[in-house]
Amino acid sequence: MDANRRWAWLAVLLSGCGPGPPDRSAVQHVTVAPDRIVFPRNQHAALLDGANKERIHSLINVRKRMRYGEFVWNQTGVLDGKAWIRIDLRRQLISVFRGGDEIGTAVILYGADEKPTPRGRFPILARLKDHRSSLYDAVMPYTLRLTGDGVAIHGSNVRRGAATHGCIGVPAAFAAHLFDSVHVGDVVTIS
Amino acid sequence: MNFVRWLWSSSWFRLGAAPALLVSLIVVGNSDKARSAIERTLRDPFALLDGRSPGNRDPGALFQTKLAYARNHPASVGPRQRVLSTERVRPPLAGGAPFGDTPLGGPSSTFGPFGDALPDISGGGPPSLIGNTAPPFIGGGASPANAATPTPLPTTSLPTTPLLDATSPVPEPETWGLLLIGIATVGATLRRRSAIQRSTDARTASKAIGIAR
Repeated sequence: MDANRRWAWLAVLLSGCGPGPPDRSAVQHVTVAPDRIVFPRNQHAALLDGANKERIHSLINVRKRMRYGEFVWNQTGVLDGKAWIRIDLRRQLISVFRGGDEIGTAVILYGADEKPTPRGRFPILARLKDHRSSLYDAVMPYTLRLTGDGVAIHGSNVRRGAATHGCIGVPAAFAAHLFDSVHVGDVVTIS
Repeated sequence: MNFVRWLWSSSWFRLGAAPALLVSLIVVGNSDKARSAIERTLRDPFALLDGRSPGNRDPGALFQTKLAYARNHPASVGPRQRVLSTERVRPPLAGGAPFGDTPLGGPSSTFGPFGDALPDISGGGPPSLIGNTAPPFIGGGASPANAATPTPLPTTSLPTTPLLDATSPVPEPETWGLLLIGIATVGATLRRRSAIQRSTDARTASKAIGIAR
């Protein structure tokens, strides 16, 4: 018996000896691809903050702990849709979604204890590519303004031990991708 | 990739290990633990972010240094003064100028020029500038009862040992003048003596000549 036939015989034997096909009605499968974790289509909506929910279809499969200054941007195969952003202050992460698919994630800087970043739901008020802070006389590239008193998402030198005066700092290259992917009115949820 | 090819080409792998791996995956995928993990992920997809998160921020994170702001708004830094080659930072004066708006007399004022805050000289300083704690003279007919009493100068204790010697190593102009006068006097005296000596010698010589004749 050659090797291929031996292999096929083993597969038939194991298929008869195994526990049987899984009960698909009881467990919905999460598909883990090399670059993306895909949830089933009827996945229930995830809670973004205390009141708002969004349906998540897929997350970027980041298989290691991210460090300050690192980011991932992957929109391969993602369909067009409305962009929205979720910022997780406890985890120090930003997630950018198009529709239900995550297309970018990065480690962030946020407000220090004396100048905390506000939590809530903020539509993007303005997109300013080369903004300069009038209060702190500092460059803020790819600014996405969130509040009237100056809180914004902008490119920054993201490094360990640093904090902002309330803004969300992201790596400059990630800020460029983000700037091109969102529009005025897109919602940013900070939790 | 080469390792995978080698592994697949091995007969022992194809016959034994691969089926065993397949069985283990089937068993694990249907275990209760795996099923509960999947259910947790479905309920809260954002729980997967814990794997990529750098964790909580370290306590005491500092503001981002904005050099332009620090350069243009040195609010925490007081007036700076250069003393020779050393830069000394002095704390800003609290309460404004010591005299406020009180007018001072002109010629009879007992104080020197003022304007900037007087430094704290408890550690030393030229004793000739500071030391008078009397209230300033207020001219213009103001009565003592209605006159505003400005804040007097702080009382300072002069150092017991003077910072500078009483005798200056460099002669004063008066000393230079006295020296020159003395030198001139000595020179004049010597000149006069030599002139007298010359006249005496000439008289003696003429007498000798007269006698000889």
